[in-house]
Amino acid sequence: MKFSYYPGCTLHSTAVEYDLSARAVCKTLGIELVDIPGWACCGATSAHSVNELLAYALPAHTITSATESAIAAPCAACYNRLRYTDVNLREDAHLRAEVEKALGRPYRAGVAVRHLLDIIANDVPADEIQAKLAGTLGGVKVVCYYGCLLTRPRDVAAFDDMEEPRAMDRLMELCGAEVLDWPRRVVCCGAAFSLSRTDVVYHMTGKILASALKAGADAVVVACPMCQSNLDLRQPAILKKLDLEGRIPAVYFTQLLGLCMGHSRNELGFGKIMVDTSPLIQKINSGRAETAAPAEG
Amino acid sequence: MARVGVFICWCGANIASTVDMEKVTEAAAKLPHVVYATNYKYMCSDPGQKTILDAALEHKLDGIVVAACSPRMHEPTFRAVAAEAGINPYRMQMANIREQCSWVHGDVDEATAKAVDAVRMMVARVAQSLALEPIKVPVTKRALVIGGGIAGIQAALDVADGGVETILVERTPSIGGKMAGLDETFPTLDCSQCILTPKMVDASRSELIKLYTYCEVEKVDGAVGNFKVTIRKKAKYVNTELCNGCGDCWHKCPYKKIPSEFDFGVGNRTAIYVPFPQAVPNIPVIDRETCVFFKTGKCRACEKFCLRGAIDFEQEDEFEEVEVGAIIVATGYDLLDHTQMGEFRYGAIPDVITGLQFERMSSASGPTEGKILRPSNGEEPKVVVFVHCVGSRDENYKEYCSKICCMYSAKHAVILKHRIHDAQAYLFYIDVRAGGKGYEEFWKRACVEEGAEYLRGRVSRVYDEGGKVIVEGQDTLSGEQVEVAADLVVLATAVVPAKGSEELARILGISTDKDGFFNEAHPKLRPVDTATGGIFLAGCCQAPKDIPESVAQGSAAASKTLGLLSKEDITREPTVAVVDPLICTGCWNCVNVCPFGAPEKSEITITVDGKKVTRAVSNINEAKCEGCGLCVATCPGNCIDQRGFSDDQVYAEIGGYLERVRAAKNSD
Repeated sequence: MKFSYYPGCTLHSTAVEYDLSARAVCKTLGIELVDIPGWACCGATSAHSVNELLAYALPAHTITSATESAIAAPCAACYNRLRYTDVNLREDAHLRAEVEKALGRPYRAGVAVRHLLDIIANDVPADEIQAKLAGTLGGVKVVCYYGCLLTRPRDVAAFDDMEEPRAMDRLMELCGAEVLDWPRRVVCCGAAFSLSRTDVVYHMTGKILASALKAGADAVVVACPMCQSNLDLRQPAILKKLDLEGRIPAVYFTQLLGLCMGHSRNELGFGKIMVDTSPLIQKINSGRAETAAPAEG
Repeated sequence: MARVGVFICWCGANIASTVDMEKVTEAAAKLPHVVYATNYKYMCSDPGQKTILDAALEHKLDGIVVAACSPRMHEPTFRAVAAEAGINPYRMQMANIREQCSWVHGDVDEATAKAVDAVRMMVARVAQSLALEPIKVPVTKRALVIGGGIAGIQAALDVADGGVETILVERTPSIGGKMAGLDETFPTLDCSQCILTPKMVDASRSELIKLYTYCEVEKVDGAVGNFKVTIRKKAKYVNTELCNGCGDCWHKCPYKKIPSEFDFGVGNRTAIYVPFPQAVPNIPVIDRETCVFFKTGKCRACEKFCLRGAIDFEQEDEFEEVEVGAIIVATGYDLLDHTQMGEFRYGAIPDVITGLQFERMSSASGPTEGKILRPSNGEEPKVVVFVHCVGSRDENYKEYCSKICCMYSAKHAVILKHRIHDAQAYLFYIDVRAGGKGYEEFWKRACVEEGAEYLRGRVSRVYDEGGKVIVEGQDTLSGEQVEVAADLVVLATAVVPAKGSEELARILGISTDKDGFFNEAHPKLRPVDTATGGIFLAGCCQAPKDIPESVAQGSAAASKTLGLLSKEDITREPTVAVVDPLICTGCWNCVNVCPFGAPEKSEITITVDGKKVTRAVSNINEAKCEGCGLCVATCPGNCIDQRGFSDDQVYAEIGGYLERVRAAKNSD
């Protein structure tokens, strides 16, 4: 399998650990990632809030620059913007003409835009993943958090159930985690309001963290750098405000997959996570030890 | 030469704003056969009709062309005018210059030219039209009602009241329908059972009503006035002659945990059961799917305990053919399945129920004897959220308004307060639709007197956490996101056509709308008829309706049925197929292709060279022919023609169009 890889801005900055772990896991699974030459920022929330043409032109530039027939995007927001652009440019000839004028070249329709979670969970057979696992997650309790952009809107991002997605849950079960049922899989974390309306993010991310703690999870597993940053970076202040005890690390699904595939924590960028992940690692290790088979940590 | 008059209608501005009336009139007057042409603002109105009558006499017309709307709209009107003017109604043709011309075109010149074409074609056709006489067929004075809910019961009672024998077919073991399961009814809060069960008893006692419960309509042949209906009588495994409904069998049935269909799973039933204690008839059936005897060959407890020997495991489905003159369809509704909806966690939360499940709980004769309880733990709920428009008015599911939900949700809130005084109801709504006598007052009562909290906004998601059902939504009046931790959530899910409606539509040959409801013949003027003669609609099978509307439509369908069956004969369209026996070779292609069994194998004796020869030929039974034209198109020898659509007429019509082409060529 070969994909054009679109890390997006965050994977080169605040979410380096997502980039590291995504590349490591893909390498192990034999998924070849080819960086898109000259890729641009997707425009994120800013572009579509101020300039519609720009919001389409930026993703269109990246899609058109892809050298492979499909793009793997690990960031949920990038993925959503790229999908949105592709769907709209294919349906709206007038818009497409405008965008092509801005690009100065024809739009390359027909490139499949895929999220990395979709590729790993749906393209790679479970037994192939299983075969690459050197260890398990030792039965640690996790909740899977997809965020709002990964599966919605229905007509744009449609690789899993819009309200009750399960792709990440399946992967984590495969890794030997105890995946808990919880009701916050797809609610919004507040996203980019983190900077302009921190109070909103405190409220929304607060609900997610409280719910994850209530469920008794040892970690929140994520697939979006924006969500991760809100859950991780803002966590101490939010939990203090909510008067809640405890800490819960927000880790990327690729980090946990990578851990089970035998990659070191350093390779997977565990050190980049603000909330202390060592209790989680300890639990994984003791869980592995308990499951009889002598497994290394 | 024929003497044809052409009458061109403005239809107010509908036609006249796009088609030049004077030009069409002028062109019409010059056509061969035309002796008179005029236009008028509303040709269908009284003065318009008089214009036609007067002209017919003055100009001794023997054919009429009315250029106006679709014949589906006013053909009967103008045929009647023709008859009154002494002209055979089948020598009246409508040129459709509205639906097929003015409404779909914008350019006046082009639309006018097209209207002239349409008139020219119809004049040519009328000149070739034969005078036809309607066919008279005797009427079967018996009616069939499909569906034993309130609409069907009302229809059956009213038809029987008019002295006509009625067959009432119901697929469940009892009549009563959804209404039999309801608690109190809005806006008066009278008990549903108290007002319905007497009608059920009336239906069962009426000498003119034959109840066919646990039966389904399998096949329908024939046409208006004379339908042949095959009814499947599902095996009850109970001899209805011997059974006295004592109840020993269902009390002794060891298999007691089968979710009851009548209770929408809120309560259980046994494998041999009556759906509810007031069932009519009060005779149980054995559900083959869940009966342990049918699964393992062991048990027969019911048989052992039945003192009257009424249990009969040997029964099989039976088929009975009945003849009726009219059919009333009253198959009712179901609710949209909310377990298919992700925003409610696909039915994974036990304390999220539907409005009908709430009804069964709050009904005094229901499985909880009127106690409203949380399905998860059997405790009394203190905070209950009612969600309006679940799947209705929602482009992801059903676009239409289900009409009854605003009112029954208000009723639920009132009942909740009456049963659990310290309970609080929250209702999420888009807007409250309370059109109906006493309806507005009722929901206000729920709001003001009974303390129900109305929140204007939609619910985004519902989930279970910490033993509560959390309802997240929006209050668009305060602009706030709201979150209610509820003990029970009641969904007002969309009203959808009853399961099996699509199949029944196919059996009956009636059409459905985009949502599967049966189509009425005209949305305003013929709301009870279907486009198929002799088949009428009542209740929710046509569109969502409340009880008074369903009853009204049941009565209306009954009155239509009585009107039809009061005649000795029914006149059928004479536009049937005819075989020319002199050229028919008896290949029987027509016999094979006809869905109505109209072509019959027959013989003809003719004299050839002085010798008598008998040949096998086809003959069309006019009483059975629906005039569909299949045999006409199929006949390899072109021996079949259709009256009113004869080759002569159709070719003349095409020729009328080709005149324009010819004229255009000549002018080149």
